[in-house]
Amino acid sequence: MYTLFIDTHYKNILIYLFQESNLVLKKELIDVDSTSTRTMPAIIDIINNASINIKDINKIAVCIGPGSFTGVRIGVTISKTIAYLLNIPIVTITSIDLIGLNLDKESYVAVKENNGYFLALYNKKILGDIKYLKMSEYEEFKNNNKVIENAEIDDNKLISFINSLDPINCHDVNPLYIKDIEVKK
Amino acid sequence: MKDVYIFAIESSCDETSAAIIKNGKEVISLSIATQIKVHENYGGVVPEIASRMHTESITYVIDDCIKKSNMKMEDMSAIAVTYTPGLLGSLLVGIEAAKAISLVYNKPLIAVNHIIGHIYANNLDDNKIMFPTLGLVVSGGHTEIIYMEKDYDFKIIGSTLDDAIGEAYDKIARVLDLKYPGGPNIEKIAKGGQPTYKLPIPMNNNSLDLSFSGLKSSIINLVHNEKQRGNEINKANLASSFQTVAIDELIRKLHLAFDKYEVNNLLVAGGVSANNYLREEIKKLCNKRSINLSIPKMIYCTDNAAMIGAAAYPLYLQEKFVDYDLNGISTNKKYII
Repeated sequence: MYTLFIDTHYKNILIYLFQESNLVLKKELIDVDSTSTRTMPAIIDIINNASINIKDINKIAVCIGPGSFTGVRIGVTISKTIAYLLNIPIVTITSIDLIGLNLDKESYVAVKENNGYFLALYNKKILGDIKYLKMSEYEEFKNNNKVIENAEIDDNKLISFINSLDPINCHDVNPLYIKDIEVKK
Repeated sequence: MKDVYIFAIESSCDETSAAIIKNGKEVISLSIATQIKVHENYGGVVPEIASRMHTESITYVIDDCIKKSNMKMEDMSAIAVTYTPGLLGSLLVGIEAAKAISLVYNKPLIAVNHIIGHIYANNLDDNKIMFPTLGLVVSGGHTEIIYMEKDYDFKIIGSTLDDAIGEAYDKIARVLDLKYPGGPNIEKIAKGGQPTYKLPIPMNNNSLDLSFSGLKSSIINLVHNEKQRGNEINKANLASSFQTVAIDELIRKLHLAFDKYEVNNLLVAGGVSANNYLREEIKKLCNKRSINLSIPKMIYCTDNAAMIGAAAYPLYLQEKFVDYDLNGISTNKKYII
């Protein structure tokens, strides 16, 4: 049982390959300038280095954001297409979870985006809604609250978090944008 | 030779489309999810909305296309996708999906230029591009007269110096308060009108280049002045006047091109080739000069993946495949490669 996890929600690309609860390989590309040129080659590297075939993958996990709209769409499009073609289960995780699941107590978790931050209260899961704050609003919030912006990912916690999720229909996997489109406002 | 089946994806603007094309010609299956109704509300394509809708529909469209075909993805010879020009966020959805299909089924990946796709729509069904040929490329971003001696050999012999003809249609539509998409709506109301307004003839010279911004400005000024005088604009007549001048100018330039080039074939490509007035006038020109004319069927004139599969076929035969680092390119005015 191989699971492939893909995260392209902001400037880093994160790919994990794991078997049940054991990490097989992971690849992290930091501050990439072009998610579209780097993501698929990174996935292929992982598959090749593990000496498996893409058809050996039994489950896909994908980070659906929030984050960079285009960045998230790349990971989501690749993931839902692979899940559809291979007819395998797909689960989704948020960028807030990626930080929050490593924390031991209730905290505010913030995910950076070009002009602001996505913010949510977290304790084992997201409590309430994810909000988008512009840079100035966020700075003000941070003056009055402790906010976690980064956490080193605990591989075991991430893998067990993903393993606990229920699969959804691949066609229904879409980015979590949070921010509305300018013209709609 | 073994039959070649290409699975093609197109997502450069506001249509998510997938197709299976046999030997660059036969449309085995074609699926198109259009977003026009959504963008109509905003008077034009909103790029972020387009990208979001492509992401929502991409696997449905792939699924629909493959199911209608009675074939399997394994049967495909290659996967083709539009990589330029278009809205970057939209292009990337098709590109990443195509990469995923290519990876899962271990099929070569072919990157296709959208405009070249429109040109190769002339190889679909009963049409066939006959060389050497002149071509008229008319869309929202392009207005060119081209000369082709063989496959993938494009020589631009005339082009617009400013607005593309489709762009002029859209802008005039806005001035006349017509809904998006402007081109088809101008044509619709022009049918009920007569070309009564006197408008300047653009680029009234013997070069093969074209210009539509002067014509556009004169209409904007005319509407503005009439409004200030409290006069009613006869929209149908103005639409008819604009269309007559713009398309007659295209026809005049085509005549000049055929005077210069001894060619007996003409192909028409691009979204504006769906315009019936243009189609009729071009037919007349070709009858008069005994020229073989190829215009794609209406369904292949607007954006679709069938034309991408047709344009991918010569690239497949030449084994021009691309790697998984393929990126989208939003603008690409020059498609000579």
